[in-house]
Amino acid sequence: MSTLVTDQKTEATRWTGKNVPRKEDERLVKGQGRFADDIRRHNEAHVYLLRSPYGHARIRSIDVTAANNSPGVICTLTGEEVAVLQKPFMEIAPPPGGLMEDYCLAVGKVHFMGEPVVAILAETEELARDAADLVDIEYDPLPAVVDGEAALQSDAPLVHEEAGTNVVWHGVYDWGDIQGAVSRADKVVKIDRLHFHRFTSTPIECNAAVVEYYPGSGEYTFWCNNTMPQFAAMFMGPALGIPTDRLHFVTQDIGGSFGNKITTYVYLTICAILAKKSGRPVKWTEYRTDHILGGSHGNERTFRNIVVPVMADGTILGISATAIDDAGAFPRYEPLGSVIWSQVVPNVYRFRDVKIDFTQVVTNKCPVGPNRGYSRLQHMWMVERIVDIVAHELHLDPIEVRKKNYIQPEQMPYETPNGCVYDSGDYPRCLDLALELIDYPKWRERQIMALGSGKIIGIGIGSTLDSGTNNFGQARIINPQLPFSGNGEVSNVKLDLYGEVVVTIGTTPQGQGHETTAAQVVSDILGIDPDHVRVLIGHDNARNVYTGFSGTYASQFAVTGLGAVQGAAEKLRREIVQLAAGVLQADESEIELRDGSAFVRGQEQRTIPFIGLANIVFANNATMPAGLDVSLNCTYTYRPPFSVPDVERKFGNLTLTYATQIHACVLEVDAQTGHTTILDYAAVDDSGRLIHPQIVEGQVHGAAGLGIGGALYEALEYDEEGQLLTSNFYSYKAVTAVDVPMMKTAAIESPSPFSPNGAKGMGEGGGAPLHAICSALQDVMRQTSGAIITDSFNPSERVYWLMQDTTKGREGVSVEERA
Amino acid sequence: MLLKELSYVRPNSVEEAIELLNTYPDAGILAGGQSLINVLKMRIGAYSTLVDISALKELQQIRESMGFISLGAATTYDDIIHSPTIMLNRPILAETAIRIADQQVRNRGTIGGNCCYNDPTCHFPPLLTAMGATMLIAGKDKRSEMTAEEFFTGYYQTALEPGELLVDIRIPKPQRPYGDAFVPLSVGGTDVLNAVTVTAHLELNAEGKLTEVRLVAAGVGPRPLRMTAIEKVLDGQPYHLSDVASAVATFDISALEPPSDVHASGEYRRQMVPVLTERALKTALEQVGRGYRE
Ligand SMILES: Cc1cc2nc3c(=O)[nH]c(=O)nc-3n(C[C@H](O)[C@H](O)[C@H](O)COP(=O)(O)OP(=O)(O)OC[C@H]3O[C@@H](n4cnc5c(N)ncnc54)[C@H](O)[C@@H]3O)c2cc1C
Repeated sequence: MSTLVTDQKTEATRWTGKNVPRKEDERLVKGQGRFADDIRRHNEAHVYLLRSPYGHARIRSIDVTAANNSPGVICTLTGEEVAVLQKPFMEIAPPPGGLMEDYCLAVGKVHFMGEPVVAILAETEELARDAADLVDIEYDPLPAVVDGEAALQSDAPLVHEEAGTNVVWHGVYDWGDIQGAVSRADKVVKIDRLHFHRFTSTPIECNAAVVEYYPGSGEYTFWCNNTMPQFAAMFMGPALGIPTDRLHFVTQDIGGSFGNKITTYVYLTICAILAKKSGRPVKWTEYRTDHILGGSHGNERTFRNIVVPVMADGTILGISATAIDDAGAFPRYEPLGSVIWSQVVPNVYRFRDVKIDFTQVVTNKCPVGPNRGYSRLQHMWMVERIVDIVAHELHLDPIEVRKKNYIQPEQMPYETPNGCVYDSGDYPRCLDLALELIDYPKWRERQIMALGSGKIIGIGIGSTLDSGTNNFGQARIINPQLPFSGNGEVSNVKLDLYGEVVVTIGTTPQGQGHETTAAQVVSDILGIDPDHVRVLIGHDNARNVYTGFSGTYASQFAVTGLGAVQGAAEKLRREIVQLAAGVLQADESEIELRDGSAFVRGQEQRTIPFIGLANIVFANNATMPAGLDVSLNCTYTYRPPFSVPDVERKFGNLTLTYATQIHACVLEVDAQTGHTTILDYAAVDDSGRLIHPQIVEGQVHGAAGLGIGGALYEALEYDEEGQLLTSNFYSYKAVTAVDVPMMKTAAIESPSPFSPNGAKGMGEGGGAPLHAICSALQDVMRQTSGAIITDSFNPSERVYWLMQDTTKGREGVSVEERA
Repeated sequence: MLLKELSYVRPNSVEEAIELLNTYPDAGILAGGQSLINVLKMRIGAYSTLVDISALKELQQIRESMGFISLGAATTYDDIIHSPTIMLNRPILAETAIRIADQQVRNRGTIGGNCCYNDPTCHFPPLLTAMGATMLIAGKDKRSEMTAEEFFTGYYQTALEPGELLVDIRIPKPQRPYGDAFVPLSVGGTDVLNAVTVTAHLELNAEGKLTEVRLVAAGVGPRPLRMTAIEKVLDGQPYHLSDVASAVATFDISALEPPSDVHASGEYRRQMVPVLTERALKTALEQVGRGYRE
C-alpha cells in the first residue's frame, strides 16, 4: 500500500515520474539474466579457497604436496608465493592504519576465521575442493581480540604487529561549543555505553568471477560482480605491479550487493595471480558459508561516555561521545567509515554543539565493507537512542521531543554544524504522515487496553536521513594526502546506425532499475517511448564510458547517474535538432522531436525519422548539411557542485542530497518470553522528485526488511577465540518475507535544489527500522522495568532479560540536574 | 565435490535396504536428505555408501487400525499435512509438520528422518514422546519395537543399532476425549529455530478426570524430557482445573541443565520451560474440555 502525497507539482513530463514497466524484469523473472556465475570460458579452471579455521594463529607450515598431486589439480597458491608476487594492498589510512599489511592470502599468520590461506585450482570445482582436504597446515593458535574496546587495551593481542597498535585511525571531531552547551543546560543526561552490533546484508548472489589473463597484452579481464570496479583497480594495479588500464572489468546482472561487493578486489587478486600462473581462465564462485565468513560485514560500533546537555522541555543542545568502530581484521574500504558518519552529524535535529572522539580499530573478525546505510546508520542510531533516552529520563513524550528538536522546513537549505547542507525536506510533516498511517491515537488506546494482558504494546519512531552523492573530498579528513574530491558519473547516449537510441552508463546496478529510469529520462528528452531506448547496463572499462567514481553505491544514481544521462541526452538532442534543421531547412527553434522523428512544428509533412538522421551521419555523410559537425554520439560527465572540505576544521559539504525516512513501528512483546511481533509499520519517505515511484518504494521495502532483520534476528557473533558462531543460514537468521510485516508507505516530494533533476539518492536508507524498533522497545520498557535499550540487536532473550531487571537494566544512565 | 565422493544405492524393498546396510561397510541411510546432505556437505560426517529409502512405497503408508494410526518412516511432511487419516485422527501431526521450514523441505523431509536425526530443535521427537508413540524397527533377521521415550537417547542419538532401519511409527488413537498441544519458542524469526518446545498430551476418563498426562520439554537437555512431577499432580484432577500455574510450579527447573548456544542461553531456556508448559497445558485442557462437553 502506498500513498504518494505530492503537492509541489513538478513540470509535466510524459515518462519521468511514472511507474513504467521495468525493462529488466522480463529477463529476470524468466531466468534469463546474465550473472557472473553464468559466464563460461573455454578451458576454464576452478578455484577453491581453503580458509582459516582460527580467529588468530601463526602459520607454522603449509604442505600442499598431496593437494598438488591430487587428481585434476592444476596448481595451488599459498601466502609464501603471494608475498613475492604481490605488494601489500594500498591502505587509505595514514599510519598507523596505513602500516597494516594486507595480502590476498594469509602471509605468516591468519587474522580472522575464514581468511583464505591456500587457493587450489583444478579442472572442476569438486576436484579443487577434494584436494583442499589434502592440504596439511600447522597452526599455532594465538589469543584473539574480538571486541573494539578490548582492542584498545595496552595488553591486547595485536592483529597487525607491523602497525604496533590495533588503532586504524583516530580523530576528534569538535564543532560548536559542547562545554558551553553543558553549562547552559537545565540537565545533563549521561549514558555510559551504547552498542551497535555487527550484522550484514545478504545478497542472494554471492561473490563470483571469471578471470582471464592475456599474455599478449598483459591484460586481465574480470567478468565479475564487483560493484565499484575502479576502486578495485586502484588497489589491484599497484599490488600486482601493473598499470591499472590492464585491468579490464566487465559486469552484467548483479544479484544484490548492498555495498558488500565493493571490497572483493582481494579475491579478484587471487584469481588474477592464479590465471597468470596457470595460463587458464579461472572461475571462482563463493559458497554461502564462505560469503558469510569472509565476504564483508557491517561496521560494529560502541559509543562510550555519552553526554547530552538538554533543557527541561526536552530541547537537546548537543552531544559528546567517544566512538569505537570495529573494522574487523583489515581496513580495506576503511577508515572511510570514520568520516562518512559526519555527513549526518545532527541527524534530523537542530542541536549544534557536538564533540565525537572517534577511533577505529582492527579485531580478529571478518573485515567490514560499506554495508547498506554505511557508517551513518550507526551514528544516527546513537542519536535516535539519545532522543528516546532523553524522553524516557525526563518523562517526556518521545514524539514531542522529536518534533521539538527537528530542523524545520523553513530552515531549508540547512547548514549543519560541520558544514553539510541539507538540501530540502519537511521532517514534521513526514512524521505526521507516519503517525496517520499507523493511526497513532488508536494504538495509544490499545496500549492501555493491553495492560495486564501479558502483551505489551510499544510504539516507536525512527527518523533518519539517507545522505547521497558523496563528496569524496571527505577522504582527505582521514588522510590529507589523498588526491580525491567531488564525485561524478558519465553516460553516453547515441543514435546507432539504424536510428536506435542506445545508452551506456558506468554504473553497476544490482536491482535498482537503472535501465528503466535511464530510459525514462532519455525518452522525455528525445520524445520517444522508453521501449525504444536500449540501455546497456554494466561496467566495462575497455568498451564503455566510466569515471573513477563509477559504480553503484552510496545512494547516488538518481543524481549522478541520471544527471549524466540527462546531460548526454540533451547534448544528443541538440545534435539531432541541428541536423534535422539542416536537412528540413528549418530554424532549430522550429524543430520538435516526437515518436522517434523530428518535425518542423505545425507541419507534419516536414519530418525525418531518427533512422534517416542516423543514415546521414553513419552511411551517407556526403549528404550532410554543410558546416555541421555532429556525431550523434554524445558523452556527458555529471559533476556535482562540491568544493574541497576544510581538513583542519573537518568542515564542508560532504554529500549533495539528503532524503528523509521517518518510520513508525508498533510492536507487541510477550511479557513472559520477550518475543517481539510487529503489529503495524509505516515508512514515509521524501526522496525529492521521484523518477519512478514504484522503484523507490521497492527500495524502501528492501531497506526496511533488512533493518527489521538487523534489529531482531541477524547478528554476526564471535566467541572469544574469534570463532564465528553464525556462519551459515541456519545460524545466521537472514530476514525473510515471512518475517517482514505488511508495510504502509507514503512519499512526499521536496525536490532537491542541488541535483540536476530534483531527485535525491535513496537506496540505502538510514537504518530507520533499527531506530524505530529500539524506540518501540524503549516504550515497552517504560511500561515494565524501566530498562534502557542500549543495544541495536534485540532478540527475544535480550528483551526478556531487560524486562526482568529493574535495576541492572538502568545501569549507566543518569540525569544530572544543573543549578 | 560438495560431498566427499561416495556410492549410492537404491533398494526396491525394506528387506533389500537392510541387506545393503549390512553388506556395505560404513553405509548410511538417506531419506529426505534435508539434514543428512547438509551434514555431508559441511563434511562434519561421512559415509562411503548411501542407501536411499526415499522411494520405498512400503515406507510411505499412512494406515489406520483399531487402536492406532501408523506412519511409514519415509512419509514426507507434505504427505502428513495432506492426509485425511491424520486430520481425522491426530491433527496435531499435520499442524506440527506444517511449521517445519518451507515447502521444499516439506516435500522431501520425512518423519523417520526427523526422528533419526534427533536434533534438539527437531519437531517430532518431543511430539511423538508426548503422544506415546511406538517405533518399529527392522534389522538383519529381526524386528523390534520400543517406545518413543526409549528411542530418543541423546543429542543426535537414538537407540537404533547400526544396520537397523526405522520402518514405522505407531501413534495411539485415543479412545477418550483428549487434548494435544505443541508450543515452540522460536528464536530465529517466524517459526524457525525452536530454542525450547513443550508438548502436552492429556485425556479424560469417564469421571471427567485427567489421565494419560504427558508433558515433554525439548531443547533443555540431551533428549525430550518428561516432566513427570507435573504429570503426577495433574493425574486425576478435573479438566476445568483453574490453577495450572501451581501445578506447573511443582516442576523443579533448577535441576535442568539446558545447553547454551548462540541462539539462547541455558538460563533463558530454563526460564521458558514453565511459561511454555503452562501454555501447552492450557491449550490441551481447552481442547479436552471441548471434547468432553460435546
Ligand atoms: C532449511 C531447513 C530448515 C529446517 N527446519 C526444521 C525445523 O524447523 N524443524 C525440524 O524438525 N526440522 C527442520 N529441518 C530438518 C528437516 O526436518 C529434515 O527433514 C529432518 O531433520 C531429516 O529428515 P530427512 O527425511 O530429510 O532425513 P535425512 O536427512 O535423509 O536423514 C537424517 C538422518 O536420519 C537417518 N535416517 C533417515 N531415515 C531413517 C530411517 N528410516 N531409519 C534409520 N535412520 C534414518 C539418516 O541416516 C540421517 O542420519 C530443516 C531442514 C532444512 C534444510
